[in-house]
Amino acid sequence: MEVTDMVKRSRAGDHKAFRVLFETYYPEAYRTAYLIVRDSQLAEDVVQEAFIKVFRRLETLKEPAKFSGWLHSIVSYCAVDMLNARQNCVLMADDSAATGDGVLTAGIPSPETETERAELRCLIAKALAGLEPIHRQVIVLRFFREMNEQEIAQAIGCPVGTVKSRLHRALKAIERKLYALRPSTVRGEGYEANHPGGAGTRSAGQGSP
Amino acid sequence: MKPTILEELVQEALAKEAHDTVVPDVDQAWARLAVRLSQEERRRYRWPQMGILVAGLAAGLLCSLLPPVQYAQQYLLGGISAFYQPLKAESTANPIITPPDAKTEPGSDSSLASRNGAQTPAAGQLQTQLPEETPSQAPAAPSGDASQAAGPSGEQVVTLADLKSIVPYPIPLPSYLPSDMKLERITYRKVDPSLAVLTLYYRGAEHSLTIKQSVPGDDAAAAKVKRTRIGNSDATVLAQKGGVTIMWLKNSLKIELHTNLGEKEALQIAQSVAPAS
Repeated sequence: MEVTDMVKRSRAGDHKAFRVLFETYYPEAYRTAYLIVRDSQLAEDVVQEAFIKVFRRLETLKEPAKFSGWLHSIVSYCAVDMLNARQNCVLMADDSAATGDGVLTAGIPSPETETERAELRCLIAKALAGLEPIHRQVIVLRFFREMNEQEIAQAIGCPVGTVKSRLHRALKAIERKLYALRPSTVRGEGYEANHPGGAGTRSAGQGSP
Repeated sequence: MKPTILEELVQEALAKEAHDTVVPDVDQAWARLAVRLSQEERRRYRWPQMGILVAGLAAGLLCSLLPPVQYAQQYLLGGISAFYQPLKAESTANPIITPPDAKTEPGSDSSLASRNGAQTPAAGQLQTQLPEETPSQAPAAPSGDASQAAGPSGEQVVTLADLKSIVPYPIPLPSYLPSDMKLERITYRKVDPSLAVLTLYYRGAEHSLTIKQSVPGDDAAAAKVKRTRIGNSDATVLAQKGGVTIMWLKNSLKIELHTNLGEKEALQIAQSVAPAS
């Protein structure tokens, strides 16, 4: 059945239609929440809270066809909100040892083998877990939900410039954490000058400043 | 714009992590949400009522603060009630002007009634005393000793007056009811020497309301309410002297278990409730 239909019927108080929406979008909403909060119990609470908000504000959704994007923006908002409320309940333990703060980096060289790539993915996942909630929020919306900067700005209710700077900072923070975890994976400052035109030489924030 | 190596890797890392994430059971999640949605709907329903109440209070306050309105209101309402109750008006020297030392609120129903000699109970009392004072509105609950004989289940139809002699405490009744809702019937059932159940049935034009009260004999202090978990759901346990009641939701199905077995055994049964194979 069409999402638009389901949304319209839910607005009219049809609980069955709302249940269909819930069942259809729950897995993806949960994944988005989990990637931001990194705690399964908290992710469940986030999705519950998000669907309650959806139920309350369904009337305000102008384009029912955009339900999915709207839902994920509410999920990400609730996730950051709940993380801020709990603050110290999140996986920040690894963070203290691997912040790499103060390190100037100049991008990641392209991994040559699939093994190397998989290893880097693993390190990046660790680095992601140590990011600030607001940075993880934009990273998840941009790279998991594949929303563009304008859509993210609309979703989290802040200017596009703020989204750009958060993305830039988040990517830089990931690079620094990677450097702290394994210095050989990240080039130090000055690499560009010595290796012009190398693969992956653009600075990490250039794609989405 | 072409993504950087880092962006590509972040995307891949997130996709892998999302793929590896174990999503909880949707049915259980829905059951949890359904409880909150029903609370939400009740809250939604309450807001307009609160709005009306606040508006009414504000209007009342405004009326009492504006002297000309106050006199006009007294004059108008006094005149109307004097017109409709000419006989009772005789007992009042001046049905229109309230004496300056009158203690009741000008313009209120009670002040108006006292001016005209009528005995009108307060709004809260009106609801609770309705079945006794207006037996015509409770056709199935005859007054006095006319309570119906107990049926095979031991259930009797009784009146509030009957209950006063049966139950050793004042019966709690709702002081608020929707305007069209009236008490239709009261039933009383003695389950065993230590437990009695009385049920109040209210009915309106479109809605109904049932209030069930269990009377745990002479040991009411021993009754306890607590929260527990049945499977993955929150459950409420009400332990009384005469038995245990456990209520919970299982995949959006409301289950209520009542037994005169012990609490431990009742919980064991509740935990074991599962779809029949």
